[in-house]
Amino acid sequence: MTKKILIVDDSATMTMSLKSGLEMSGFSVTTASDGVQALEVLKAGPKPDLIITDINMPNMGGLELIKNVKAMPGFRFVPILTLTTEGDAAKRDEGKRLGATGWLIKPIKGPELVQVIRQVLPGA
Amino acid sequence: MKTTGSELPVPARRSSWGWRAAVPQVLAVTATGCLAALLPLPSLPPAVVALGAAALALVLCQLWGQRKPSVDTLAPVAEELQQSQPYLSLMSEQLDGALHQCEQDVLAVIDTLGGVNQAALKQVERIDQATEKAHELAAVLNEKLMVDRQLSAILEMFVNKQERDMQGNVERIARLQEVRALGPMVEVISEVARHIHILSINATIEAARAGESGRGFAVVASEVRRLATVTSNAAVEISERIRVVTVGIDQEVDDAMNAGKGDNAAGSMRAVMGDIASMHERFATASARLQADDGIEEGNNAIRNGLGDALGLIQFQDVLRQRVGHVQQALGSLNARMATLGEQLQTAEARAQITPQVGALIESLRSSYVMDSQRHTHNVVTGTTAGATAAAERPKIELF
Repeated sequence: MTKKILIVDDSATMTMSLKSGLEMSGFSVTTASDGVQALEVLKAGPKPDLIITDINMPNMGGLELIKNVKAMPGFRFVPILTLTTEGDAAKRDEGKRLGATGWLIKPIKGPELVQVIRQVLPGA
Repeated sequence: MKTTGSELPVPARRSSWGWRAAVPQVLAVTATGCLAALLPLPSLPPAVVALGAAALALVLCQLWGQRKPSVDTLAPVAEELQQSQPYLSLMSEQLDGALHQCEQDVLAVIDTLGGVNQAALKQVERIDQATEKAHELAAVLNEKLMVDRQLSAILEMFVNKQERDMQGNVERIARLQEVRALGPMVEVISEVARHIHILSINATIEAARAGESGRGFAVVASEVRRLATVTSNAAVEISERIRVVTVGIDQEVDDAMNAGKGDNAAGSMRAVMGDIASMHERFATASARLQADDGIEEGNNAIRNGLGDALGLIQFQDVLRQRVGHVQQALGSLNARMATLGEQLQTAEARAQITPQVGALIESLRSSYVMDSQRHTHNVVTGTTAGATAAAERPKIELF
């Protein structure tokens, strides 16, 4: 079954490049430009198998998004990867505490990202 | 202080020469003249007067230099500070335009890579279809090869049997020629019949000589003569039939021999079977090649990985966008500071409240950084090492 991934980033080039690359690898991808839009997408369904989010975004950042998603019914065990330029250790620790599955620093090569996703999603 | 970006042009310093610079000298001369005129001193030597005038001029110059600047002096400075605002705003807008252009171009690159991927997928589809057809052709070839091999085996058996039959026929026909050996025997029978006929004639003559007592013998002799005649006639007929059969057999042998030598159908058939076997070998080789993979899947994976790498590298644009955005924010802060300074220089009261703040602005940048590369650049420029070691040790990928 095709795995579904939600990408959240305020950069159009990031969402487009990630979407194109992951679709080439056989994933189904939806996108959102910030945390607020991401929550709307999640509520509308279908539930993604994985969420990849930036940290520093307008309206709602990645850390707040992680906190809100983990509190939504049925989303507690959905893995969430952060893909960010944020190098602050305190924010990384906060992300881990809130329930992030992994912390990735931009830029990341397509094959490397796919390898990480396959580790996080068995059967992908 | 070093800067890593382009430096803002520093306005040229105004010349300190001009009429204002001559004021101390004029005051010194004036003061010396007045002093000499007013003081009831005995005549002083000229050297002493000159020395006094010089000392007085020096003091007056010092006092002149420590005077508070007038508003007129500071007005050009305030004007320059105000002019720097649109300058910095212009530079920020230029950066914005560059970022926008860069984003448009990168989106076009992503679109193009998507087109390349679609074209590659179509090629893969065409290759898959061609491969499928090749496999079908190979299956048909293999099936035909199998049938042909069976037919070749049957043909081989047929040709072998035909050759054996032909050889057998020749041998049988050759054996029939032994009937020729009956000819001399028939000659013997004819000769015996002729002799018996002669004997019978002699017996008839002797029977006639014997008179009455020879009458019975004459009958026997007559019968023997009749049998000899029958035997002779039979021998002639047998001889004729043997002759006919012999001629026929000779003709059959000739025909059989000619069929083996002239026509050579079996030999031709064997040559054709050899050609067919050779063609089967070539078909078998071609069939194996049709089903070979030839690294197509490996090539497809290489294309997919290359496109994935390219799309990943495009993420540089987002990193660039964030760093330039941060520079724009810093320019905005500096712009605001310039505007405030320009206003404060307008009045003496505001000037008294001016405190240096750019240093604090620089230090405040540190807390606004998100990337380790930004902190590294800050440290290099300012000569500090805060946070450098921690940044070097953090991995790019962490799974919790």
